[in-house]
Amino acid sequence: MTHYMDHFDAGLLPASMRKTIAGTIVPPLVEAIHSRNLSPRLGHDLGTIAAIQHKNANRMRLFQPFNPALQDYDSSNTVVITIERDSEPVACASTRLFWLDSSLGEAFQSLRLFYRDVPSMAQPGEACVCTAPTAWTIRDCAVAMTGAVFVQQGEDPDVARAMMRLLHLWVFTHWRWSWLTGIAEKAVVRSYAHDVYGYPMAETGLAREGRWYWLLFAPRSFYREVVVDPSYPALDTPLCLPTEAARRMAGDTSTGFRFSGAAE
Amino acid sequence: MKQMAHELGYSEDTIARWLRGDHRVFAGAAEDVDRYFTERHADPNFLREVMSLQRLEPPRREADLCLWVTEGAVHRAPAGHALFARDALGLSAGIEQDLVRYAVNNLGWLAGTARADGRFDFRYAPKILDPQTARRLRDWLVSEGRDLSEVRATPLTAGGWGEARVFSVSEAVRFLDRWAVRLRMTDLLGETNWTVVREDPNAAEFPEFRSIVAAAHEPLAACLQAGRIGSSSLLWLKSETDLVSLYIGQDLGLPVDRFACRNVLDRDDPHYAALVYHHALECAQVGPTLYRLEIDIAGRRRRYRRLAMPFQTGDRRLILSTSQLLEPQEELSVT
Repeated sequence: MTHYMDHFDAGLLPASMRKTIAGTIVPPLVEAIHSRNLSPRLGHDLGTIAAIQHKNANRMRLFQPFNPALQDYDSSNTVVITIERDSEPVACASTRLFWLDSSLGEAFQSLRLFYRDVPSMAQPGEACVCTAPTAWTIRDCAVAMTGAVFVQQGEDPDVARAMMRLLHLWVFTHWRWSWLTGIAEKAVVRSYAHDVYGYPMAETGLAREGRWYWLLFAPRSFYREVVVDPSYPALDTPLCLPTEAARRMAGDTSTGFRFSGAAE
Repeated sequence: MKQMAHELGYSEDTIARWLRGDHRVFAGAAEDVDRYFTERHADPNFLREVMSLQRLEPPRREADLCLWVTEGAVHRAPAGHALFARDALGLSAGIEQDLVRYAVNNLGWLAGTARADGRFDFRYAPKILDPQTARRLRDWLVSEGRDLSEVRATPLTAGGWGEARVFSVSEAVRFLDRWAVRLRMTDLLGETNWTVVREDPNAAEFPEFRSIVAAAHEPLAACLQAGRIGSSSLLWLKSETDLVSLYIGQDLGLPVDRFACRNVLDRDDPHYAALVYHHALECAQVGPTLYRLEIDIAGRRRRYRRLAMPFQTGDRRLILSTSQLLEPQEELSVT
């Protein structure tokens, strides 16, 4: 794991976007973490996630796409972010990049998203049912999936906000994908999916292992606009609210209108 | 005079006119001549003698001086590159990451160090180096780098800092010119009093031009048939920064031995090189182009029309350029 900024390379982006992101978006987010005596680190080893889960098994489950024992992965399809204090992780999250040969719904139901070798790794009778309509329309494209989100109890809520923004900024900057997706339980969707994780869409449902999940979605076009918005590094402004550009297009010139906390 | 003409890329005739006082010598040309005497004959007094100027010899540095070159300016960073970048990015102390690499790789800045022993090092990211930034450093080297013994350029590659290339100051200036020349055309023209007007090649005034446009698949044959090969040139767009002069017609009056088989972007006049480069690139992208031009070439005003035709042989992207002076009594000296 190396420092986030040492790992950041926005060379794939157009010059104007690259300079905005590197000059005005990344530094305040990194500074927000450093100001809490923490350090954002980045790597590509799912073993890091497994180690954190092992230490915090009572509060964190290891979802299969982020379990190193069940996946073939490398730096081209896996990124892990940790927030560390004195070299000890206090928070983490990860994103995987998948190419869909058919649809996302089919990838869930066939269990191919969960295991590198379904016949030998899936439990007998194991099943997944996907009823989220959008999952069946996302097909023949690259999809980034974020999960393994964990924050130690007692940490400032801004740690999770900054970490998720940094992670998705890295994923947007370094990888080509059409959709960013995630899976969450209902309580998480209400509290975090939009404001903290930055998914504008949430759909029920995904049935798996006797639990009912929601699928979270963000098209790349959404992030293209959001990550260059001045509000992206402002942790007191929830994500998924209209960007400045969107408000200008809609004709909103009111300076008195405050978005902060509006979605909470 | 022959040697100077050869070194600087001007025609002997032009230099003779300067000496006779028939021609105005523009500032860029005076600078070229000064550079010729300074670098070739170690005589830094040309401008002082001609213009009664007092040369400002840069003081010998007692310690290394760090510079950050950005789009907007050359900044001194007396406390070092990392501290300057940290402050510029609004980061607090105690952050251990490599901010030099971050700024070079993401913001397109150049990290320069003028060393006390007379060497100058700069680090840059080739894939994102901004033309305006390259130009800032180029101008700094021209104005303040005359006392430098060598310039070392270290590129940032996927695997980290690569192997440094070592240049003389003039070679470094030329190297940076290649980047600077990629400035947008509007920026470039804003610095000149040139007239560059795009016209419709299908409605060209000259019948020979129309016949060449009509033979789009074989422009070279049409050019030969029209008897225009002597006032034409052939360019090879080898890569985005490599435009090679393959052939220069004898009627164009250019120093063929100096220009032929060389990159256009290496020519001494960056504005003219940029114009040729942009027009060649445009032609390769959009097809035949016709321009009416009133520009300065080697210190002399020229008015002419230039037709450019793209074609391909094998995997080589070629551009045929043929010119017609609008004042036929003048000596033709264009490509």
